[in-house]
Amino acid sequence: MNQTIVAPMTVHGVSAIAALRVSGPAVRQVLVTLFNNENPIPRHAYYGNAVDPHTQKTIDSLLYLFFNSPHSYTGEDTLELYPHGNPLIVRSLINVISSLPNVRIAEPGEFTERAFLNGKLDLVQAEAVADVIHSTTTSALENARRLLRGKFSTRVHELTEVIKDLSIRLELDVDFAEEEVDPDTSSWRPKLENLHQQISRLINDFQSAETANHLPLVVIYGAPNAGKSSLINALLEEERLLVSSIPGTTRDFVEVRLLLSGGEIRLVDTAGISDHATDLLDSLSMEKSRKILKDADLKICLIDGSKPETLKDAIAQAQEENALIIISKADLFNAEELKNEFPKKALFTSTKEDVHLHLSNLKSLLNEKLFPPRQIEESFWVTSERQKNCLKEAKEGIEKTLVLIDQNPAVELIAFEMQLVRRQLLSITGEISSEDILQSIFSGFCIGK
Amino acid sequence: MSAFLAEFDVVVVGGGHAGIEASHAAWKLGVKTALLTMSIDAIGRMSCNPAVGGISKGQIVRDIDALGGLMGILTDKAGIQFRMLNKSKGPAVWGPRAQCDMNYYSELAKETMTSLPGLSLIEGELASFSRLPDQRFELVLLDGSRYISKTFVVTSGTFLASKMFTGNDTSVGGRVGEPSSDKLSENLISAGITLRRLKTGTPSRLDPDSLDFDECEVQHGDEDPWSFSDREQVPLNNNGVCWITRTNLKTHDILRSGFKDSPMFSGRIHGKGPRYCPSIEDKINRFGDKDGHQLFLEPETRDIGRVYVNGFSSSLPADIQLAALHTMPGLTRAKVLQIGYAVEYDSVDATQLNPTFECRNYSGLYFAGQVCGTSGYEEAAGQGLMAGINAALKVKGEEPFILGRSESYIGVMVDDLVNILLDEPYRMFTSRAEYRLFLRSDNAEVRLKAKAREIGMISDRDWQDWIMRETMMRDVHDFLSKESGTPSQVNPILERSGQALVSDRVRWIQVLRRPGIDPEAFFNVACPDKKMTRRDQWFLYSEEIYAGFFERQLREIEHQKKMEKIRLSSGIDYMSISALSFEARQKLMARKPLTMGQVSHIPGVRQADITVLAHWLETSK
Repeated sequence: MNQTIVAPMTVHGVSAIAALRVSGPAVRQVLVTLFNNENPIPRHAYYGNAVDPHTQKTIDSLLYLFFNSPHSYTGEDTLELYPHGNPLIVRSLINVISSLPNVRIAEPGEFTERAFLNGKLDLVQAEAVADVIHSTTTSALENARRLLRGKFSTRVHELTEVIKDLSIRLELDVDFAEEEVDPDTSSWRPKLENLHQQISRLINDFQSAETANHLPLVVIYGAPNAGKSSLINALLEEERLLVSSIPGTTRDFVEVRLLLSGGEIRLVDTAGISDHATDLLDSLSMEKSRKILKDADLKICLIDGSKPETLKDAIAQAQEENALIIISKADLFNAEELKNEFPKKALFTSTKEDVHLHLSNLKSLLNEKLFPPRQIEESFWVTSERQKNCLKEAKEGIEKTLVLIDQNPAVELIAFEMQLVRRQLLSITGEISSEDILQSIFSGFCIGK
Repeated sequence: MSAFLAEFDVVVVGGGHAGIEASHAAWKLGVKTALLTMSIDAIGRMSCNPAVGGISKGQIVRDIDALGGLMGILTDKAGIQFRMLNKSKGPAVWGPRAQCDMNYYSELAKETMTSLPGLSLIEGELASFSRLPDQRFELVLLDGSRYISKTFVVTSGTFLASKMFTGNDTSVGGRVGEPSSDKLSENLISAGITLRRLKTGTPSRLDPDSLDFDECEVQHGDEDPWSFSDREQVPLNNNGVCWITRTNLKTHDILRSGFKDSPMFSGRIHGKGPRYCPSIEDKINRFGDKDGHQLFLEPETRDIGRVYVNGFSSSLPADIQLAALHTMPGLTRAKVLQIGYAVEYDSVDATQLNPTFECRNYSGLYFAGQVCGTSGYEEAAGQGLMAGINAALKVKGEEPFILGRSESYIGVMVDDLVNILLDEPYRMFTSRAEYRLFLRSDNAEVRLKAKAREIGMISDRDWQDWIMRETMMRDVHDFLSKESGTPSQVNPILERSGQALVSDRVRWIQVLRRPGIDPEAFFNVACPDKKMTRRDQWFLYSEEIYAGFFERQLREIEHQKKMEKIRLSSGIDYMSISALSFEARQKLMARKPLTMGQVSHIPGVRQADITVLAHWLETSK
């Protein structure tokens, strides 16, 4: 039987509103059962009471929308429900809906899988859906949106069109040798070289979603009482809504997530150890500190600016450790004087004076260092290994073809390579090569001896 | 009710190129076979151009020959001019072609069929058929005579409910002077077979005495002609010539003036015609900007009784055609012996057939040839051969004989025909074959001989000959891999192909791999005492130059073969496999493919659907 699937779209837990999606041929049955709505108007917002058919009790009063096939995300009849965000309500609705005949709870990713199987999304777009949901940097998110809108798919189609045009001429030359048609061999090489260049660019711009969504790790270290906790507290204070303290990511450190304009970062304070180190623990904690410092994408060495006697050495050491130097307690000394002494090497902060300015300077510096804009030649980049491999194979095929053309060999071999290149490109978007080459030959050339 | 005249295992209805191969193959496999034809004199008639072969079509004829069919030998005997098309390209896309003496071809075909001991030739027209309680068929001819057969193969060509058109004149028939088979068409419809209207056309035939050949370019046969068959070593007659002339703007103007009376443009013909073989009015209509179209003047017989104007097929009014012909070099005084006409006919929607050519919903009934929606003698013969073989195997209770896409152009054709709903007559092209580097005219025997031998299509003598050739090729290949040539032996060969010379001894096989080598010259130097056919020399050469490409396709071919081995039960309810796209579900329900291999060639079924189906099969085991 053709199964209908149901699942919540929002995460489990209490919220003002939750959202559920039902997709498949039994959607109309669900509407009749829950709302006694036999003739739903597509894309019309209904407000109604969802009634449990077994108990005749109202589960919730809620908003719902019906989308008719194929005009829905999955391409099937789809129902979206927006109950109050109480897990009990969500569970009751799921239970009632999934107990109907031929309805079951969806597997992860199944709605998108159906969208792909029903031709609503191609493979690149289906893969981009996950990117859109999971991107942790604004540039990765923007890229994922472009992929979902079909920018790359369109590009792939453009490239395949060039190959197709070449294939048409090659096939014309093979199959219609007796006809007076011109395969225009002189245009093959420049076309292929251009294609090669375009594909190379796409490969060069590749960045895996994993890399793009890696949360940068920033580790703050420094002498006890340098002000590490104060700095982190100040950052947390500033970003009350967007920062959460996650205790015990590692038992020894305090880790917080901070949202910069370019994306999210992990900020770890080594204060937990170094401030309270005993002799016994010292060696252990030092080892752990070393490890996390090694993993850091950026190290921040916080130096107490109010202790001029140790300042010079501390700065020299931090420079050696390749750390970003922040000199704290700028309110306790003449920062201008120090700045002249260590030009451009350090950032001065205070959590007592001009806090906002100091913090925003720090954040923009972090943003600049952790989220440098990507230098890419296209308006998007490829994020899937699979797609990149297809591009690589296509590129190699073109290289082989160029060698073949130089050796001036039989045209059927060039055609063979072109066929493989075309198939590689089409497999990016998950299409089977539709052999419409002959169609194009008939419509474009006068054939018929 | 009158008594039955005879009982058969296989009755083949139609004596054209499909019918000849079908009845010959069934006869060869030892079942009781009859060939039913409207006229025994019309057996093997060339309805259109007097030539066999061409690019990809020639490969089909080679495959027919390797499978034990007749077309190759008939063409070798009746040929008057042999040319290898695409000779400047690699041997994979070479297409052997021969102009034939069409009368002699037909005579030879008739002679061959009448000489087959045990094969019954019946002159008559099938009017109706019905199934008996014992599942056999009762076949009733127009004259009332009755026959019984376990199976029958319809190879009716263009003769089902056919109409001919020239300008505003319409007449009934499938070929000039021959009737149409209307009763059979009605009977097929009432048996639930879906028929479709198709159209084809043929050009005028001219009186050679009225032509000025001096004004035309002459085309000769190859200096070193290739035969289609190696079985009978027929000496080739290669003296025939063709002539080339071309249309001009005046020709086009005259043709245009007749467009208003064209049965094609006025909509009186409903059937779709082939775009690769358009009528001259179609060419002018669609590509009018060209200042001229090349035409070939082909002799129909050795003594040039009539001349066929290749490229000038037309259904415009006779006076327009004639006036247009008179505008061209060589044709200014041309006398027309038979004016060009279009034929509209019923064909069978071949997606109703299994790859054995048997009707999916009417077991025992087979169709083959032009009636399946193809064009071309070679395509027809290839189908006839396969249908005849499979009808006989069914009678014998043996496994069907189906060729895959990686085995033969015939396999490509069968797969396309039963899976793709055609919107015009189907003709073979090399570009239809994914594995065309394998499907060469030089390896037809290597690909097919053993398979054909297994089912009984190859005689002992042919098989022995082939084994000897094969052994010799192995021997030569071993020699070339082990032995080397001296610079003085090798360099002249390299020099002639513009390759860098060598200063040391070099393995023979390395020399053979160099691009542009002439294999015939090579073998004369490398192993002059090892006698091989020219075909086999080219085969060894092809294997070397394409080796790297095969490797890359091998995995794909293995995969395809594996897919073709996965059988699908006809009882699968595809509509219930929800993860399949809706289009795929519908297509699969309609086609009921026999194997997974077939699934992958049904248009509208996507890679995702194949993955889903494979997964479904896996879990439902």
